[in-house]
Formats: sequence, structure tokens, C-alpha cells
Amino acid sequence: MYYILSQILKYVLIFLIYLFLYRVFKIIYMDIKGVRRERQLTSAKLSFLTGERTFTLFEVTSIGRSDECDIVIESPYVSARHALIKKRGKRFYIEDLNSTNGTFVNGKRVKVARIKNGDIITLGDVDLKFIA
Amino acid sequence: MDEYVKTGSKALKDVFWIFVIAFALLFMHRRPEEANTIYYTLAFPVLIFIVYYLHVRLFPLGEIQFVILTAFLTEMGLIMIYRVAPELLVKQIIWIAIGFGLYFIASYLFKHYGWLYNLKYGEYIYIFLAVGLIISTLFFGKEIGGAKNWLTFDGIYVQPAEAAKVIYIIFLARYLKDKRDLKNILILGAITIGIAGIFALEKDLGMAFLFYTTTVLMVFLVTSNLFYVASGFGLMAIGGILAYFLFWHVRVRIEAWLNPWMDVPGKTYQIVQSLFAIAAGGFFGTGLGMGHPEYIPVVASDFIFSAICEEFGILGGIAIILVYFVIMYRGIKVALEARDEFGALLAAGLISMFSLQVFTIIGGVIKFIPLTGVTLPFVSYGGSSMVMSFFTLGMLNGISVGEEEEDVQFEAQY
Repeated sequence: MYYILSQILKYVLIFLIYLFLYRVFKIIYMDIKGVRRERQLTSAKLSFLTGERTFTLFEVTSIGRSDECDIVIESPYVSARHALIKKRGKRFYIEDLNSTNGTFVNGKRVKVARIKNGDIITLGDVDLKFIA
Repeated sequence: MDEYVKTGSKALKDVFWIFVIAFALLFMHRRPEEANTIYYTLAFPVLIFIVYYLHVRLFPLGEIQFVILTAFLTEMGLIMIYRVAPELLVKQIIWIAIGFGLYFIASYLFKHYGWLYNLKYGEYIYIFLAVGLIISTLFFGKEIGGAKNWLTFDGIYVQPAEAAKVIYIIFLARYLKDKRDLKNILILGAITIGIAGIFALEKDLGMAFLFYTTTVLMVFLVTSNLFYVASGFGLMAIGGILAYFLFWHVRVRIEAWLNPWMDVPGKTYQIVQSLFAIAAGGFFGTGLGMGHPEYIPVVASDFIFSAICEEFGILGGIAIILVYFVIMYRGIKVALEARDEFGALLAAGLISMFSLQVFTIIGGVIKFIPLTGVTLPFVSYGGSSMVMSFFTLGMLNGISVGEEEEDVQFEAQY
């Protein structure tokens, strides 16, 4: 009785082990491909302090003057690729991409900084409000 | 919930079902005498889920995969340990719990690892600690299983070399960060050969090989100079040949590797039993409880891989190796993304040591390289090894978390 059970279940166990491996490798695949849902919309928003426009953020959002950026800001004080906003876990981080005029969070110049709901982000001469 | 997290928790569910099936079978096969065993066994999945939850909470940016992968490895170890040596199961579960605790402590300690680098006279402190730990067993040590690498405190056996590994890596990272010209590399080479020599005297050849090879790898990482690597391995070959003629126990190991059939009941008993076990397993294994892993000597620690190959088949064995590859990949990724050179060196050293250890023991039991007694991290029975393996991964997690979470605030530059 035990013999039969053990013989059947060994195939089940191997199957489960490889199912586990499949999932682990799937995570790696997503990691390498950068398919950490970079293009997926999040619930966070970025809006001009003047209120003219509001953007919904992706998992990774690039901001700058160039057309390639997700959020295009037409201002001579904003660099072509100015800053990046990333979601890691549940938190949002802003990263300055060596811009000429710098990235400021609540008036402080930052390289990488965590941003919270209500923070004012200044890029060049443009003020943006971060709404989580 | 994004797909990334979802896949992770699905993988953890697979681990849970493997646990349920395997232990249901084993409890049928070998009725546990004490209720204690059952309680502790049931505590294991609870522990894993608590750790997973805490990890997601405390380190949302951390290497959550470490938890998933170690959960799988420790579980395979537990299944096999209960199969071959049921009296060790409870102890092993306690060690795993302590290990996870240390994992979190190490994560916090090494989140800001700068203090390791800034410590005054740091490299002297590290090297004296490491060498002290290694030498201590030469004087106060106890010989178990042929190697004199154990210390005993009131019946608790510890292997100081396991702790020395981590300290030595910190030393290497600190030393090689600044000193990488020929003269300093030669000094480092002398230190390393000294350490390998001490290990050889303690008859702990596995550790000698690990320390030496890790150093060669680290030197290559900082200098990108193939000459150092070539001369390093050349010296190792010379040392190996010398050791073959000088030490009896080295000669036995190498002869057993070249021709395991010469003295099956005597000198080559271990390796032959290990090969028989792997052969008996075939592709899908004999099924849990149907094999005879108890014929293999020291099966709960060094030879646990052969036992897994016997009862889970070579497919199970390959799965274990693949999981180690994934851990290695994550470790190298931590090293690549570290925020400064010291962190990168630290992470690279830790993961090299870890991977080399896995290579040494798996290669040994399948007769790919001469057999040396080191443990298979996370799977083998053994407190020191389990705890320090968790500590190593904790350090890697800390380095990774620190680099992600750092909020660098700059004052206005103009």
C-alpha cells in the first residue's frame, strides 16, 4: 500500500518541484526583461502646480523636454532627460538624471530621494505636485 | 498586486504542497514516536510564512527571492534529514529559525556597510579575527569525521571556520579596495597560502580550497589580470601535488577519486556508496522511503545530495543545483548594482564563496572532483553552516536594500 502511494507521489513531487522552478525562472525572466510592469499605470499622479495638466505615473516614468520621455515638459530650463520616477515596492523614488538645473524635492536639491504624497517637485522652473 | 509578487507567492505555495505531501508520506512510513516532532514539523511552514510576510513588510525592496529559494532548500534538507536521521529533525528546524533571525539581523547590520570600511585598522582586525578563529581549532579543536575543525562548548559543537569565512571576505573586500599593486597582491597571496596551510594541517581540505579559490577570484575581480589567476591556480596545482606526496589523507582522497573501485569496503567506501545511491535513483528516484540512503556514511550532512538523488531521482538533484544557480544569479546581481566598489566586492566575495562551496560538495559526491568534506548550504544538517549561510544571504540582502533605500540628500551646489 505504502509502496504504491510512494511510487505515485514521487511523480507528483517532481512535478511540484519543477513547477516551483518554473515560477522562480519566470521571476528571473521578468527581472531580466525589465517586465517589472514598467509600463503599467499606478494610482499615483503628478500635476502642474498651476493645475493645467495632470499625468498618471507608470511604474517607471521618465520626465524631460525630449519627445522620448513619458512626461514631456516644454521648458528651456528642463533637460532633455531630466528625471526618473520609480515605484519600488509601495514607495516612489525620484532620481535626477544629471540634469543641468537639478531636481528639487520641497526645495532641496536631490540625486535620489523618496517622495511622498503632497511633495512639491521642481524641475528647472516648473513646479509639480506629487499625489500618491 | 503585480505579477512579480504574485508569482513569488505561487512559488511559495508549491513549496508548501511539497512539504505537505512529503511529510504526509514520511509520517506514514515512519510513525513519529514523539508528538514533539510533529509540532516542530508543523511549525516549519508557519515559520516560512512569517518570514515571508516580515520580509515583504520590512524590506519591500529586498531580495524576496532569497526567502523563497532558501525555503525550498531547507525543506528538501528537512525531508531528507527526517528520512535518514529523524532524531536530528527538531534540532535542524531550530537552527533554521535561528538562521532566519540572523538573516534579518544581518540585513539591518549591513544595510549601511560603510562602517566596515571606515573602521580604523579594520583590515588588521578582520584578518586577526579570521586567522584566530581558524587557528583556534588547531589547539582547542576536536577531531570529528577526520578533520580537526570543531570546537565544543558544553556539548554544543561549532565550526569556527564558518564564521571565519564571512570575516575573511570582509577583510578581502577592504584590502583589495585600496591595495591592488603587485607588492600588496603578493602579501595577500602569502596570507592566503598561510591560511590554506593551517586548514591543510587541520585536514580540512574543503575549506583550504574554498579560501584559496575565493581569494584568486577576488584578485581577478579587482585587477582583471589573467596572470594573477594563472599563477594562483598554478601554485594551487603545485600545492596539491606537494600535499599528495606529503599528507596521507590527501593521497587517500585523490586515489579514491581516480579509482573508487580499488578498496570498496575500506578507503573508498563513502564515494562508492554515494555513487550507488545516485545510480539507484534513476530519473525519478526510488520514491520517498523506498531507497536505502542509510547505507551512505555521514548522509545527513556531507552526503545529503546523494540521498536526495536516490529518493527524488536525478531530476530532484538537478532541481537543487538549479536553485543554487538562481541564488548565485541574485548574488551577482546584488554585486553589480551595489552603490560603491566596497559593497560590490563584498557581495561578489560572499557569493563566490557560497557558490564554490556548493560546487565543492556536489562535485565531490558525484565524483567530479576529489571529495572534500564541506556542507551543502541550507540542505545539510549542521548548525554552524546553516546559521552562517543565512547570515551570508542576509548580508547580500542588506547590501541590496541599502543601495535601493538610500535617500541621498544634497545641499544646493550653487
